[in-house]
Amino acid sequence: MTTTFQNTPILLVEDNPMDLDLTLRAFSTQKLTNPIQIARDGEEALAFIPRWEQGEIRPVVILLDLNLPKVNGLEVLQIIKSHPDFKTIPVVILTTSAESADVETAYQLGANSYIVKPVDFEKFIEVAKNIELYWTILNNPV
Amino acid sequence: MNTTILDLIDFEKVDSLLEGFNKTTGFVTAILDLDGTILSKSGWRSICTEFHRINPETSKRCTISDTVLAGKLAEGENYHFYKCLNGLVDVAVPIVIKGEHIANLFSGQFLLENPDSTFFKDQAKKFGCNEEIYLKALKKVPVVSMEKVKTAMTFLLDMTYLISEMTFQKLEQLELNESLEQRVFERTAQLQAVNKELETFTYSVSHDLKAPLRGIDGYSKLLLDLYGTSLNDEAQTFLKTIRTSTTQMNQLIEDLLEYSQLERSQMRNDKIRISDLITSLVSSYTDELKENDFLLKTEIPDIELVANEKGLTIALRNLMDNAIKFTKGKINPYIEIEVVDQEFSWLIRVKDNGKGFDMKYHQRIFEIFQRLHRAEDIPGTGVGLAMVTKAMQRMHGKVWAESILDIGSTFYLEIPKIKIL
Repeated sequence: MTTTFQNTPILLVEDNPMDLDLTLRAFSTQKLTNPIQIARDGEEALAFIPRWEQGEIRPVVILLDLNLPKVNGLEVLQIIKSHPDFKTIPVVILTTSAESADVETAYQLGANSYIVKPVDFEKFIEVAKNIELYWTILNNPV
Repeated sequence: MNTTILDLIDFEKVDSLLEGFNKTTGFVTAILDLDGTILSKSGWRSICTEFHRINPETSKRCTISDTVLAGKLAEGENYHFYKCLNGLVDVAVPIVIKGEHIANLFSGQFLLENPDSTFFKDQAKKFGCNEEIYLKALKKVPVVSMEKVKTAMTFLLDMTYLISEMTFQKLEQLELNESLEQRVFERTAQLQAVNKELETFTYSVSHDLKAPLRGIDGYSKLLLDLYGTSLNDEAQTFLKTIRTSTTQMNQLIEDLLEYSQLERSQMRNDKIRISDLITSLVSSYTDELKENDFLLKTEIPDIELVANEKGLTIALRNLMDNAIKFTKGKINPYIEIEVVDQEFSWLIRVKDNGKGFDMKYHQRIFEIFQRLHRAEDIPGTGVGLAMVTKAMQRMHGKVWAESILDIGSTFYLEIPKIKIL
């Protein structure tokens, strides 16, 4: 079971170039075997839906920032979570906002987890490690 | 508009005054609006109530007298005498409220000289009244001297001023209330808008200010990790200083966010088993307390408090942080937490034998961004005690402290048992 998802991609939705780079670096320190797909805004994230419908392999987890240009993270979340086929893809909110209103809305819309990005890079690496361990190895998806 | 002003006249008071006037002087009174509707009356003569105002023809004459004749107040006149169309004398005093003539106060149903009996006999015949009873009623109509009438009218004139004044005040009060309501409504809307703005602002602070900070910290760390070997000691120190600064800045943002959340969030009342809350809070400090050889004493009765759990936790956590921060390094450092169940409130005491502070700064330490120490000596953002104050305020409670410099401090939290909604 543990090796089954090693080559399934992780979809990272992140607009901030620094955050994107740091997240990728944080994952690379863990020698992650899962390829990482990137969407730079909400629209790009939603553009994956038709590709999955065409049969492209779905991500093992979606890491979704909230404050995104064009279509914001909560809207992306809502659309994915109301899709009959793709609502089962785990979505982890990975954002800077710890506002309780955001946390609540995200869970209401069906987020599977809500993680606040730490400012401290060491802690961020720790978070990346835990995300990888949990969602690509421990968790057993549909 | 007229009807609304008329509605404001306190007829209960006016009627009782006019009735008293009628009983003591014998003068009848009435208040009629400009259409001739009777609003108040006292002591009317039977010739009017049983004949003139009953017969349709004479009654019509009454109304014309009450409206047309009564309205002919000449310039400069305060009141107006006239002979009514049914042969009696009436006096009308206009009631003016806020510059608007809205009604008349009448006296009358009297005669200034002996009646012309032929006129009244003719009148009885013309309108088919029983002459005998009609003339009997006429006899009851007093013949009064002009002088006496004028004395009575002076009183009635004052009476109309009083009515005007009373009603005007009522009207003003009503308008004031209305404008007050409008103002409250406007202010509430303004406050809501500001609150919304503040929420957007805090959101931006939490998201947009932290992202660049993460960049600074992340790349400093990467620089140290990947190129540390090619940097000399000074360059490495610079990078470490950068990282310390970002940590401080991050702490400040976190504290401000928590502070603003305390201010904005709903303060629900929770039932709190206080011993559980303090035990779990203290356990998160176990390592730190052990490392610094602290002695921790707690004296907590097994009771339930009603307070906002989050607010109380934030307050206690900040007091605990401070107690450790300012006592660390002392000989035999100790912290004592005590909960006292008082009659009207719960009192929580957090005592230490730390650095303490001069009581002249007592007020200042609870204000936001106020610090008594340099940041390099004792770290802090200046938000901690402000957060405690805010949390207690939101719970309608109190916080205060007693301290002696170099001996120690005791901080008190008082939570009222009676909850204000």
